[in-house]
Amino acid sequence: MYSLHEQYLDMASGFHVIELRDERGNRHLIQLAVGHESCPACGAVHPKDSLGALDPAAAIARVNEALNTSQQQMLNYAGKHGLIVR
Amino acid sequence: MALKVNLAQINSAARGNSDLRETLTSIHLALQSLYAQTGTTPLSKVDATTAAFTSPPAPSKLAVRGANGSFTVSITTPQSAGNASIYQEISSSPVANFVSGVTTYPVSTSTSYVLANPGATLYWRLRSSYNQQNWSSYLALPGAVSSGLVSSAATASNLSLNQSNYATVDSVAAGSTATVRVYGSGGVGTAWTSVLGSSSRVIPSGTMMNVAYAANGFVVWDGQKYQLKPQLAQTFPDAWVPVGKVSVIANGSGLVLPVIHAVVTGGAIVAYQIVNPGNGLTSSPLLTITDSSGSGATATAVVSAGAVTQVTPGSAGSGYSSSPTVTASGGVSGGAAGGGGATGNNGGRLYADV
Repeated sequence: MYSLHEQYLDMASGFHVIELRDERGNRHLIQLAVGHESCPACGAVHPKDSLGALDPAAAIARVNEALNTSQQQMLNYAGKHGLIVR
Repeated sequence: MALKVNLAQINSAARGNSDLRETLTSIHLALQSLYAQTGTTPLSKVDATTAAFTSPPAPSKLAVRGANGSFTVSITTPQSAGNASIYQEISSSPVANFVSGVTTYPVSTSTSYVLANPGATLYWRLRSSYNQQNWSSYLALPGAVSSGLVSSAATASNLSLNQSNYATVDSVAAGSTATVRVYGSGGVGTAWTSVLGSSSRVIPSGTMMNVAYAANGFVVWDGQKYQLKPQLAQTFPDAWVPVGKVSVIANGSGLVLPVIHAVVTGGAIVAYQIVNPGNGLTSSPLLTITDSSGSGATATAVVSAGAVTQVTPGSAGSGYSSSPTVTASGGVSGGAAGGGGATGNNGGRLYADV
């Protein structure tokens, strides 16, 4: 099952990066866009105004649940067809 | 500096005081003995500053190597200089005798430089100074050095540049913003494989949330995380892996077929008006034109960022009434389940014309 491994804010790309890992070392990244890059043409930066409504914990929980549901479905499939899982 | 006081001066200064004379004489003799041993005056003032060098230093050693479009210059200072700073002036010329085309680089105490100058073959020389006034004679390298051409660190020699990314990049609606997803053949949340030439690497899946609707961009893996860049060229740094282009869903209301009206002149359809461009379209919808009297008209819808941006008339047809009906159907291909209408599924392949 996936769970939170680490998270950080990457100023260069403007993403809040959250890494989930499962017990097999598989990684899934959740990236919350919390900043804009500057315009590549003119360099202007427009601040995001929707961050107040952003709930990182809820986003993590939502993605984590979807991942684990998908993973459980795959494990069920493997069990049904006698596949080894690695 | 020798001692300036002699025994006659001591005898005169003592004025018959034998104790004082013997004391001063013993001090004098001891100082003379130290002077003879050390070569310096024991009572001279202590001064830690280094005496200024005015004559040029002994020649330094110069080595210049050319590779990857740059000259790497290395200077070895002579041991006799000790800790004194030596100013170095290097210059280059395309001719061995330095009579033309001489480039003199800024004087510095640095002993190594990397000078980018792709495709150049130059002769090099060096001169040195302690004070930037008195210079040594030039030390010239005997032969010319070629910088070579710049090569990309991203490619090894004889490497096939065919790159295949077995990733799916798509976007789904998520409330007031869209979510861009990158995943492998196993579905959302599974890693994918990037194959470059004969090597391959597994890259984790990712979910980019809070992305603005209708944003077009190029997804790139930078080794740690995904980035969404507005321009393809921004995904090309060495060691980055361009993943795919995504046309983010236009808004959060899912698939909406466009509403299009025909403009009729003389019974023929000459133009189309896009009343509602639609949303969530991943392919061009089929346009069917029906009318009570006319027939034969055809038209094609052009889709960008999930919406119709243009309708291109084909055959104008004939006999149409003033208000034929244009019906759009289809408009979805690929698409991923859940979270609203999906769009931008391009199989991870870049298709920009570069």
